[in-house]
Amino acid sequence: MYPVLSVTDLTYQIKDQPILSNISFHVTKKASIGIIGESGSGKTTLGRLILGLLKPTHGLISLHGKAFPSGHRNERRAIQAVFQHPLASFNPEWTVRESILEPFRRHRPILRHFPATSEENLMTALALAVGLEERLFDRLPHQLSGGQIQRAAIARAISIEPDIIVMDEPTTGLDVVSRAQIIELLERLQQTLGVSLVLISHDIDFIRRLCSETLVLRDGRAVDLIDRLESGSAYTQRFVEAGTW
Amino acid sequence: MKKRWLIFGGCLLFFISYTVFTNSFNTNIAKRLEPASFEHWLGTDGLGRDFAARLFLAGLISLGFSLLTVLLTACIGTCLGCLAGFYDGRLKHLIHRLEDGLVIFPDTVLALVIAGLFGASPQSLIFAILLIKWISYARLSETLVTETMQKPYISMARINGLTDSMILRRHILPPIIRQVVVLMSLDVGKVILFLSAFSYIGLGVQAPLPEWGTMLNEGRPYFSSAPRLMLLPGACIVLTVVATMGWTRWMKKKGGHVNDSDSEHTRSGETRPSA
Amino acid sequence: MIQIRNIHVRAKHVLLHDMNLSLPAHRFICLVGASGSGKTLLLKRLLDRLPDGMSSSGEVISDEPLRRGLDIGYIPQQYTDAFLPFLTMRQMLRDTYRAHGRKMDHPYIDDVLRTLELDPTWLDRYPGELSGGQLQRFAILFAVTLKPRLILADELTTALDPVLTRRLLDWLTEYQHQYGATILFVTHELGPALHYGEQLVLMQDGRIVETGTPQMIEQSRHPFTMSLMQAHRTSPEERKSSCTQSYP
Repeated sequence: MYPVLSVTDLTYQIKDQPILSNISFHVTKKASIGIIGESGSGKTTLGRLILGLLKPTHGLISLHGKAFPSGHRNERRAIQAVFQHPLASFNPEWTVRESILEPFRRHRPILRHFPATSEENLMTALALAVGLEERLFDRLPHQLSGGQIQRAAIARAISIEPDIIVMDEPTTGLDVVSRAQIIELLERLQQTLGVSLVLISHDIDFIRRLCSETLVLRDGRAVDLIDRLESGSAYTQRFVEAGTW
Repeated sequence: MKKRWLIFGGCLLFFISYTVFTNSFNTNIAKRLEPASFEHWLGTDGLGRDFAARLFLAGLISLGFSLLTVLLTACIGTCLGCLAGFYDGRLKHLIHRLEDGLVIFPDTVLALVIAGLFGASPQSLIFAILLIKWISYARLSETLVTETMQKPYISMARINGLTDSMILRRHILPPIIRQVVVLMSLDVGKVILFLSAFSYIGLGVQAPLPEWGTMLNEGRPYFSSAPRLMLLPGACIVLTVVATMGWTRWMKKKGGHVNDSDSEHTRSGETRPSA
Repeated sequence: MIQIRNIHVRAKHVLLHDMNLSLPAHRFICLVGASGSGKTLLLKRLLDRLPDGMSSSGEVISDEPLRRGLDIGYIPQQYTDAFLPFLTMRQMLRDTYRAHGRKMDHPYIDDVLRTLELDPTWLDRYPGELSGGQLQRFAILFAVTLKPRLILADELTTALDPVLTRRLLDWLTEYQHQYGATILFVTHELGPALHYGEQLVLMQDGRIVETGTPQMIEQSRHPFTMSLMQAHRTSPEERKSSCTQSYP
């Protein structure tokens, strides 16, 4: 049984400048991992590498034991993403509905949890799952609030029932109430869909609540790979303390 | 709204049939410079030809010429611009050098030179206009391509499994096409003006084909006796150009400005992308 | 002491509804609210820099002059907007001093650079050559360089990692005590506000919902404040405990 995601000895350089060096970890089914670190530590780059948006200089990324990305048509069904600025991840000329349906229309998957019989049924189920009113789907992205558009992004990510979702700072910029709602939503989704999450964030409470493991990056290197945030090195401890209000 | 189009279509049909059924080229020296009559609705010109038919035919020729030119220029310019936007490296540099090299030429001078080299004809004119105008389309599309490619929703589309051609078709081309069409409608007016100016001095459409600029020139000697021979073609040029400007304004309004950068949420917490 | 009396701002709709507020001097005041609550707009009104197309009524009464740069230091949310891309940091700093007829205070600048952990050689760089975190800290330097007595900071912490956030806020508190300054800190995060603020102002939809000290806010019975506090306490253990638990 392969882990859902395997990162082995990952290195990424730009013109001999090392951005990430020798990163290794894996994510088993239904487990979630958090990635924390200072700005410039390489967190976002790691996220982009895992998503296959960048090519590593050395090292390997595999999904379910198969190297990723390899160009197979449906390999991207297993992995989805939610970005930091959700509004920018939606085409401003498309309705929210059209954007949410993009992965579904591409893969036409057979779904276990959501109804895939028709797009309308799917949208209704997704609206319920993320706690959004369906009528918002017919609006343009800029007409939704920050919390709403983030939930729409999550709806899009779960619509094809991926095995793993990479989230880059999903709670940053959200007000207190929306943030709490997103955290609860993700907890629920972890339980009902059994999806693994890779959470890149400097919101320590967020990571603590959702992740069974945490990778701590510093200047592109892995400083810690721990399950309890309290059991890290001195650097990690300082970092965690600073982020806990 | 529909009624307006019906009237417009009806007039067009009328003008075209008049032009088709009336000969614009039969000269009749005996009947030259006649005022408006039942036989010739706007009279005859200096060579006895039906003036109205020549006017309408000239309109069709101007429009046809300009649409063809603008379409050709837009296609070539947009293609080159998109290529420059997508592919970094030698192709991009080549296109930029071409742009830099040609943009310095004032269009009038270039048209004169080309007419001198290849002979005065509509084709030379098209070639000259093409050489100059493709650059604005190329730069527009290159900018749009580069800007759009950086948007997160393009990365998202890739994550969703879309192939490059799908992304091109669905995300990148629509805004480009919208803006290119607006540019095209503006250029149609400019090209008509350009064509008229050159035909006036004899370097565009050649006799005996009618063209408003040519007709302006033909009407010059008779200005005191039959001013309509100059005034009407002139008025046609002005009205057509104004019409294209109005058309452009309407299209800009209809296309609307996409509101994608006003939301507070794209601004809060925006930093340089961290490595 | 700044008095805000009946400030009313509208564009197409009313954005700030008849706001009344007293900002005590020498305090660290936090303006807390979600985006759209009007907090940034209030700042801009204080600076007399409302965007085009907005009308406002009401007055801001202060017993001391409020000249931008000299008396008010403003750290905008879009700190990248605060810099001209074709000048070096040093040139812009010099211009700031010149604009107010002052000479550059080099020892002070060096001191601030050191505290903000900015390398002095970076002064000769252009904004495009600096990272987001570095620019943010430079924005703070520029705001405090003339030692103003009122600092307006708009969403300083949104994109920074926790360590840098704490460092900046600690430094701001030190500045407050050293120069007897008033800090007006706008944020949507309750955590830093409760920790650093001496006076909190909660805003929603262009209105002030409640103001008070952190303890008052934590123990408040106002429904909005309570829902905010509820959402803020994310860990299950904290949620179970009573509202009167005090925070270290």
